[in-house]
Amino acid sequence: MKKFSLVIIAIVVAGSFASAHVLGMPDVTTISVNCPAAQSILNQIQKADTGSRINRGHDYNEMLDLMFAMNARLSVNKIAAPALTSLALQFEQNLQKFRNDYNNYDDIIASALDIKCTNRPIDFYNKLEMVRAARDLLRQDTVILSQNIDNYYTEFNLVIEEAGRW
Amino acid sequence: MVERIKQFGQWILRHQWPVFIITVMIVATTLTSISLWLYQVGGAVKLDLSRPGYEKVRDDVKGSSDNTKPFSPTGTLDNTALIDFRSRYETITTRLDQMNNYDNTVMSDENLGLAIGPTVTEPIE
Repeated sequence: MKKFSLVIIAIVVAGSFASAHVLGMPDVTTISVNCPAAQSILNQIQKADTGSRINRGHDYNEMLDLMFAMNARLSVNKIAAPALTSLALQFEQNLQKFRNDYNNYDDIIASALDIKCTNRPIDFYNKLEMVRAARDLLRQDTVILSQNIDNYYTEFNLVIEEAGRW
Repeated sequence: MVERIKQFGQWILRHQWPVFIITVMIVATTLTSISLWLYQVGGAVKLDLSRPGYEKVRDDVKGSSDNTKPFSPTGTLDNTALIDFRSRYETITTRLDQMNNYDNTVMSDENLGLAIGPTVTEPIE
């Protein structure tokens, strides 16, 4: 049993060392030499993304308010639209997910910028991969939110048609 | 115990001004600390453009400059209201479509200047 445990531990340790380098990673020397410039570009991307996040957040909030206002107005006019209520809530939940994912992305990119990359190029590149994954998650969130908005509009048109309005 | 409390009360009465200043400083420090903690934990710090280095980004941020009233949740649902709703919807979606969608092309190795030289193709044993 002891020997078996030692074998398992040895396999796990060897595996952790084997995965220290990301496949497709550039040469370590290349990273070490060019990473200060890469960090400078990352810094600019982070700042641009902050502005973009604020603008997006403003528009998403405006869209959410528009959805809630329309749902209330339909209710006041005695037009049943439970699907629209559900879609608005779904949009709100996905919007919150987008906010959380952005906070996570910002934390990761900040930690990538904090690394002394000339001394720790592998750590920097691994962190860069994490930044890319977090950013891709943000992209997916914006796609989902866009679909939510389209679905709401489609359903809205159906409700208006069924209600005999223009 | 009661005697001690009385003595403490008399001490405060004899040193009202310093006690007042110290109390105000403690309250201010506590409330400021709570505010800063909320600022960090709530994520507001990530969107604060007043930080150094964000001067250029401030110009790109579109504020709530249009003074149009929000869409009313009450009232009749006539053609005017429907046109208003559709117009607002189109405006917002057009703005969103023109925005940065967090595409990862900008973070490629080529764009970051990391793509020069040989790449690792197998895990290092």
